[in-house]
Amino acid sequence: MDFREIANVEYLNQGDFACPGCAAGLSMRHALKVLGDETVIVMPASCWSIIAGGLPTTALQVPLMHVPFATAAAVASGVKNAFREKGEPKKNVVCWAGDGGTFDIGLQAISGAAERREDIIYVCYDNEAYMNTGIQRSSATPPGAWTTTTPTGNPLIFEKKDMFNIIASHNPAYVATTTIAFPDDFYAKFEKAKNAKGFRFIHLLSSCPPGWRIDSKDSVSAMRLAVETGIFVMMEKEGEQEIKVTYKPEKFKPVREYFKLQGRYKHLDEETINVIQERINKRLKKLNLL
Amino acid sequence: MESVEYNNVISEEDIKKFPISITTTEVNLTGSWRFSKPNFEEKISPCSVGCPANTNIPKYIFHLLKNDIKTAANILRDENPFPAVCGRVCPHFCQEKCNRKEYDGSVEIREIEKFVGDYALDIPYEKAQLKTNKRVAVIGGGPAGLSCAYFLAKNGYRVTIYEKENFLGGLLIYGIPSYRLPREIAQKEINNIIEMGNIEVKLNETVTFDRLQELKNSYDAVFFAGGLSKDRIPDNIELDNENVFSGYELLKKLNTNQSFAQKLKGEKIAVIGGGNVAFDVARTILRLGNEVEIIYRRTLQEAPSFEEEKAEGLEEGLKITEKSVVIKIVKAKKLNLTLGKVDKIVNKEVQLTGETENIEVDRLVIATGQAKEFEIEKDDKIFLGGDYEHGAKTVIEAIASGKTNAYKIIAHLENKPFYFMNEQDNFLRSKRDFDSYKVVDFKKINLFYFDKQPPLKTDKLPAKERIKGFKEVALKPALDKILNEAKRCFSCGVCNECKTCWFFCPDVCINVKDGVDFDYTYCKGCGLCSAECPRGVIDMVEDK
Repeated sequence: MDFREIANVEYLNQGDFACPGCAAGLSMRHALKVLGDETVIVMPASCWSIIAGGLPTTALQVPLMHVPFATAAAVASGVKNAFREKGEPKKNVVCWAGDGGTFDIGLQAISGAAERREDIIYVCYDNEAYMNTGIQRSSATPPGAWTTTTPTGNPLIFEKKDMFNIIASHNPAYVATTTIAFPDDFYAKFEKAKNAKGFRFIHLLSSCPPGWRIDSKDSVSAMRLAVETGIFVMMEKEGEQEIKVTYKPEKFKPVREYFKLQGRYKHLDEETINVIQERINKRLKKLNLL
Repeated sequence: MESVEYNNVISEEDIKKFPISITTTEVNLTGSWRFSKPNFEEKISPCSVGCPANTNIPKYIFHLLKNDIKTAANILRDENPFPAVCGRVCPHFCQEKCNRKEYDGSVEIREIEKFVGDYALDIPYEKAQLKTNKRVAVIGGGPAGLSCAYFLAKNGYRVTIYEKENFLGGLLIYGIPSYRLPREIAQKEINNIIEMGNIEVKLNETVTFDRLQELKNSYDAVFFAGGLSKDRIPDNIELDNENVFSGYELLKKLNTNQSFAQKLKGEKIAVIGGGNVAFDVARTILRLGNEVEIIYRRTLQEAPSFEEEKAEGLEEGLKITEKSVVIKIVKAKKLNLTLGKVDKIVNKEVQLTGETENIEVDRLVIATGQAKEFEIEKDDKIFLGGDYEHGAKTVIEAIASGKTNAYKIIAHLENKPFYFMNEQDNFLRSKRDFDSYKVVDFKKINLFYFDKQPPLKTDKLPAKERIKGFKEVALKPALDKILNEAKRCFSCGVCNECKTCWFFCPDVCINVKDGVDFDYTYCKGCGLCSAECPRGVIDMVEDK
């Protein structure tokens, strides 16, 4: 991707409260570049509630509405319908939620909005735990990962909730997984989501330097490794079409390389790593990637 | 259901009671969070170090890709006044060092240089200004002498070139055959240098040892690059310039005397030697419609000629007799040569197996190297360079020698340390400590941004076509292929405004225009710009 061709217009203000190297701030910056100024953000409690700045400041150049934890998709549905009534049907109403507000607390509202075919975009930036409250485990935390509530690692009996397929089974207009570490893929998917009509869902992997226990400069390379090792698969499903994997490396790297970079996995023994590798291989085989 | 107007439910007054943001987060000066800060520092690419003349390769490729070929040509010629020549005959030491070599093959810098160099042929240099009344004599108008004269003239010195032939260029004109280097290309680059001004040329001036002492007294400095003008021939062979020639003598004769070339047609000729001259001579006479045999005392693999020359020569039908020396010549109507098979060579001493073979040829060419005509001592006024100083080497090394000596002369005449030159003149010598350059190695390249793509393959004229005449062997690739190849350049250590740092800055603190600007008021010092920079231009440094 030629970065020189991307518009210079910015919708993210300087001085936001994101930690150094935060991928959530970065993802928002580029998502808004695609979605444009006809966008309204609806935001449940999440890291981004902090990043957006305390009253009376805002980190965005577009309207942003802070809403209760469980209600993002429901409020967004209402906002979208209000705009339609007002005669502004072209507004992009976007939910911007973390994994807590999506995988755990907001799930029923999402399911309802998807079922009603609400014309909204739901973006989940998934940093794999409740990061801003102090790194507590969520149902998006991968097995093995350390959090403050799973000090010996998230037990292997759990599996990361498969949000992509949960949403896909609602037959939405568009559902995709991506990460800002692959700029082409990120831009293409937001472009598709913007142009589709109906319920659209994008699951972003979003690294968290303090929560993942990584150096802030490695936050992009960590996400890139997640894709290159196959622990995170970038895919999409448009309307009635089949699931399509959008990035397949020549050869998947061992997941060990991804773990090695992050302090939250440093306690893992060989046996556990092998179990996780087996699970990844099984999933990749199912997706016809191995 | 009828829709409800929302201002019936909530009044304007109610809305004012809502907590609404009235200002931006720009009030938070997040720069205070920082422990380390990004620092923009361009570094040296390994190719520039590999090039004896230290051409700033990534920089001119960057300008070429920006559609600014004129600037590209100027950057190239700031370091090397012979880009079109070097694009053809240089073995490209730069490509040996290319970081891409261990990834998917070196960038074909040669083709890019040739393209830019050819474009530059028609761009005259800016007229040189006279900045001092000091005068320098340059002995020898070959690549080393011309290069020295160019850099001196550019820096405001008055130069006089003494050349013993009646033309400038030395080997570029009479040594390298035109199927490798078309004469008009070399001629144009030479003319460009002379037309720049400050240079006086004296042709047909042979400088002997005694004459050199005279010149030393009338000039402030003398650069001697007289080359290796004496032929080195085996003891048992005598040149007669009728049937037995030296390699250069024959090339000179063929290039200046058309009827002589006609006379040779159809003969059988043997060439002794394994260097570039031997192959050049052999391939030249092959093109005149002769049968040629190269006789070399070692194996072809050991021959010092460029690999490309050997391969092309074989394609064209050169016959090569390896591990053989001429032990006896009997001059009759033709030349009867007795070849001895070489067993091994110990300390340059040839040991024969005893096996012999007789061949009959019309003429014999000896291309076994050159030697100095006379010995000169370096002193505070005499500077030595080119083949005369370092022995028979490549054109680019001669150019580099001329350039280095030009700067040595300037430093000497102005009583300054050697590495004082400003950025424009030589980017590698612009810093005080020559050893402190940061060279970007392969590990510093962020490979994610580069797809594997094999290097450009240059098409060549088919061997059958080649031997019919003196057309250039290497064909010019199409423009889009050149640009594609230029895009393969990692641009190691040189910012090409790819904006990757800008893209990955979460804090909107980077502006890319003629380099990279950081907004330190808000930069949190995360280091993503440094980690993601594909070419190692941004470093994180401690922020005090």
